[in-house]
Amino acid sequence: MYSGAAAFPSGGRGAFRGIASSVATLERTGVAQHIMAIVVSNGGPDVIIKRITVDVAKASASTTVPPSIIRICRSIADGVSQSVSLIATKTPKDSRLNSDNNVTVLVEGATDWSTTGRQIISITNLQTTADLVNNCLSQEYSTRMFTAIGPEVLDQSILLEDKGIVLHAGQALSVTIDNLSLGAPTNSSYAATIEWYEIKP
Amino acid sequence: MAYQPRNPESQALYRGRVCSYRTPGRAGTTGQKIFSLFNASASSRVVHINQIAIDLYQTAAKTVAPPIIRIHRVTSDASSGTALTKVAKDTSLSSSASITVKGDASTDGTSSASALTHASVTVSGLTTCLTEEFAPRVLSLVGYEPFDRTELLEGKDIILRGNEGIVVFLDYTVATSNPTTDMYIVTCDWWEI
Repeated sequence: MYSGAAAFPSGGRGAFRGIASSVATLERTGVAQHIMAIVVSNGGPDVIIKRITVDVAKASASTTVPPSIIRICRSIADGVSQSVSLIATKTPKDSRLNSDNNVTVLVEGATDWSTTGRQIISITNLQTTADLVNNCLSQEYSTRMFTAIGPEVLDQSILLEDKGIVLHAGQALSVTIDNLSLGAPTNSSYAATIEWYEIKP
Repeated sequence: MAYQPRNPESQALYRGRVCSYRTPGRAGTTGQKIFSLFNASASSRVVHINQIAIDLYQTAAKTVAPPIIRIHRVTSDASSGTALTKVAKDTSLSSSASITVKGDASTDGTSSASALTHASVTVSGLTTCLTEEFAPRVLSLVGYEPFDRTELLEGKDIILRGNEGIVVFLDYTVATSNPTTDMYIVTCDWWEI
């Protein structure tokens, strides 16, 4: 257990503590695919990231294609856009507390395992692999099946937990699938969950 | 009230993380340095290492022993390699220029033009080793690649004073232990005071 965990409290009395999840979002190929982004608009609170998890289900074998890399990256609120906003529900851990309206969780997928209603998230400073690496807070290779006959195990990746990542007003953070040069199969589906709390500055 | 973490990091002057590119193996018989963090001798700050996370994508089945991932304490900076970009955990804080991080890839999937080098970190040189773990190995490519990132030194609070650093070393002597098509990625978490 990370001994510094206690350094990052749950926000204390009155602080909103919440969770948002994506649908099972189909992978796209040759792009920096932002499956989720948490955005703190100007005037918003400090947002402290409690935990980010990602899981993937593979529907086909990929013996020659390397796995994508899941990267958690910093950005700025003004750099995040979506032609039609697809906003995840912010579920409170305590229903007596309300999230700030300036905190928004955008997601790409609208329907599990489907492109129906999909709304691509664009982030101006996170387009190339160099962009992603230079703004990266955590990373892990995605899973890969060498044959399609194989196990799907409980292997959710915990990319950040109690690391004290702070988003001030005007900042954002993405959950990005980096398959820019890899040609990953498009029938994989990713599911991301983010947990955070808010403190009024 | 603005966010203020409790101890031990509450007094930190900077809290940061850094991620490497996909770093190809270098085969050979003398191992490979894939990451370094160094606090220069003139530094006015002390570095506390929270965590180093490593993941590997393998391209070839192996029957030889895998590399041993060893993290070494050093008293001089590594040379060559490629500088990496520090990413703040809280942008209201700034890192010291005396603290530098390097990897062994110049871009994603491309080795640095000159390999990351540190003369004091050598094969089986255990006197400076802080922790170690065998890299994963696949005996055949019929299988499953799970989420299996290893997290080393988690919460061990390794302290680096001026003129001290760490080097992540893949320790092996057989070229096929670390083929040039295999790719490592490294993430480091630290704070400065």
